[in-house]
Amino acid sequence: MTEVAAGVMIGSAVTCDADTLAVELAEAEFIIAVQSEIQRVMNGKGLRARDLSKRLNVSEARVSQMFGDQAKNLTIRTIAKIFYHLGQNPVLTTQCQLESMVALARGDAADSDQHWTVSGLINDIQIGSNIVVTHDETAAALPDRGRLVDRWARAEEADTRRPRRLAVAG
Amino acid sequence: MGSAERSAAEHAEVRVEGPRRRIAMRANDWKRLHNAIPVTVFARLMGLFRRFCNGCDHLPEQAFRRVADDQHGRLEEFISSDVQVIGRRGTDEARQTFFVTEVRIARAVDPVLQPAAALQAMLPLNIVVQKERER
Repeated sequence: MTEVAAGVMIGSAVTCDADTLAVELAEAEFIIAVQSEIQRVMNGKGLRARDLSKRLNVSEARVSQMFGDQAKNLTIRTIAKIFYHLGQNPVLTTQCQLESMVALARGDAADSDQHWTVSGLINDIQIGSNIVVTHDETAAALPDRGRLVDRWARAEEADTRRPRRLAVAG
Repeated sequence: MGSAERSAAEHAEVRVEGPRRRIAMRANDWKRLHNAIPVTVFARLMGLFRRFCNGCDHLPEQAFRRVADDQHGRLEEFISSDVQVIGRRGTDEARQTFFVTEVRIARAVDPVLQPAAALQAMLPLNIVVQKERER
């Protein structure tokens, strides 16, 4: 038996009302969309949870919680911080807007002066995701951000190259 | 039990479908997911299923991963609080099917809705004590 914020007891998918189920589904899908986008960027850069925890200056357990069921600590601020430290620029959009962006990219992109990037959508899934991560073309224009990300990348590279010391007993 | 021996209800049927993948599950398992787990966990699993069926290959490891103790390394599992949906992917189709072989539920919800907490519990302590004395 679970409890929602309003204090109303809700049970399984069968026993709860249709509205509650719809809201729960919408929440879960959005959380998974955010988590998957972060994971996709991390996979693309070859980063692990440990690397992300170092970049965010939090514990690995905290990062693990962000990817868990309840997505604890995954606030909008944290999401922005994560993408910043991953050198990406997240764009929040709606399904409706996304569809028009796709139509624009497929059809009138050559003639249009709007330069939408839909890399997240095309690479990963066929049906629109509600989070789109664009390649960060502004990084060059923001030298501080570029430097910060480069610094992290160099530190992680050095970390992987560093020979592992084996513990010797006695 | 071989597939020929299974009754119609035990055959896996497609339950969630997307442009790139689909999830097939036996009726009994599908019913358990609807009845025996909290709606929040059900919503999480459905969200994972849908995204997986849409073709996402980057689900977080906390939610979808290979089964650790599988000898053949073919089993994968969707995980949500106290629930594991274990299965394997079929490979002989253009649109991949994930066949669910087992649903593990560590802690099922009470199927009967409990009444809301009694109003008395929300009264100030002195009134609660007074009521106790009256009895």
